[in-house]
Amino acid sequence: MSQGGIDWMSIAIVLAGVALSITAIVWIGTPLWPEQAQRAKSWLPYILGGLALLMAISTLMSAIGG
Amino acid sequence: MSEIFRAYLERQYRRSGAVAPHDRLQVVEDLLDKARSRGVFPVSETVLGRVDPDHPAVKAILDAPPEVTGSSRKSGLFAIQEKFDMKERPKWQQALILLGIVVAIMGSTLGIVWFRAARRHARAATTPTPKPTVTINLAAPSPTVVVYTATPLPSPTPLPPTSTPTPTPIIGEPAEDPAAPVSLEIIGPPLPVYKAELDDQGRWRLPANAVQWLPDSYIRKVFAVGPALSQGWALQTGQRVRVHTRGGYVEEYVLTRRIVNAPGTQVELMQGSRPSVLVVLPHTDSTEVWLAELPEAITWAHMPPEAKEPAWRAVIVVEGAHVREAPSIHAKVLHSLPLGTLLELTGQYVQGDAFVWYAVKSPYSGWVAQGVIRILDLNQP
Repeated sequence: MSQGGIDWMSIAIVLAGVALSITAIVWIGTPLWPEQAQRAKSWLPYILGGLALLMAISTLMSAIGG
Repeated sequence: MSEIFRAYLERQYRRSGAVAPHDRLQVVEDLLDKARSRGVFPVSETVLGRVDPDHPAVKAILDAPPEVTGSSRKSGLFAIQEKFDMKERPKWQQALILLGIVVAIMGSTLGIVWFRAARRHARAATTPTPKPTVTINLAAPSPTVVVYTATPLPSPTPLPPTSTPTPTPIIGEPAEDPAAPVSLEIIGPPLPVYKAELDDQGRWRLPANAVQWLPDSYIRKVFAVGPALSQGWALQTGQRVRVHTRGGYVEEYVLTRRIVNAPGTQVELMQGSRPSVLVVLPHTDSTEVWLAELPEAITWAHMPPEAKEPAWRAVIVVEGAHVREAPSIHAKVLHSLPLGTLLELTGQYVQGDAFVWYAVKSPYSGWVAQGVIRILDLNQP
């Protein structure tokens, strides 16, 4: 579960929460701030992809740590 | 809601001056009523179209459920979004709702993390920490304290060996110490010497055909010769006695005196302050005891008869040495002195019972035998 004293699973959970928060902001903000939401949507795939990668690494580290 | 109908509806709101939600709802209901009753529908912001409401196809569309007509009615999250109608709300409410959603998501996330940490902490608290075990290296020898208990002398002092009528088959074990004797030479060839063994009562059972040595008697070596071996011996003063040790050294002594009727409980017999040999020859009716000393010690033993003044100092070299009333081994014992006791002698000495006796001045008055003291101030006039 933790390797070197770091709780990697908790890090993965936090990253998942960040990803959900960003998604919620973009989804709710689209009708409210269309222009800003359009610009955010262009970056959203990269942001969510990076967060998913970090989550995968954290989960892997957690699995290695046992 | 299509863009065409929205534009038309906004125009109707402006034309009717409907601002409040109630007024706008009334406008919408009027439009619905027109559509159902007269078949009127907007085709643009300012143009209306019309169909026959009684036509079966039109009636089927108007009465069909939204899923069939492909209505833009949304479900699930989109329905919630439309229901909330965020665009109708003020900006601060929009920001507050959005912030609330984000806080709820991140709060849930952090709550999960906190719960995991708390559970891990609780598990660690309940799990006993293994105490370091003390490893005892059994292979390593542990220091031991040896409490030496001085083996007391056999009490009473071992009696002179008595000849047994029947010789025992066990002669004894040979001594192993390098300083211990292995053979005794008095008359004839050297005789093998064995270690004596005392019984539970401290009695020395001497085999008739053996020569035994009293163990641990190194200074004054005490030997006993069985009657079967000493038969026909006629010892004389001046006769040489040789003791062969296990270490290969040969000690030579000279018989100096014979002790007649030696009682068995005299410390003076068994103890000596200088190298000497005590040879015990038990016979059927008596026991013959001879003292042999080093040749160079003989001159020392024969002190000039004149008394010396002032008094000499001497030290007791035998534990329990006796101070007697008279210069005789049969005299009454006045005191028993411990090892190391300093004495002041008068200088007077006499010979009695094959011993030289010194008169003691202090701390006790009496007589002590030569063998139990060592004179310190030899040349003091």
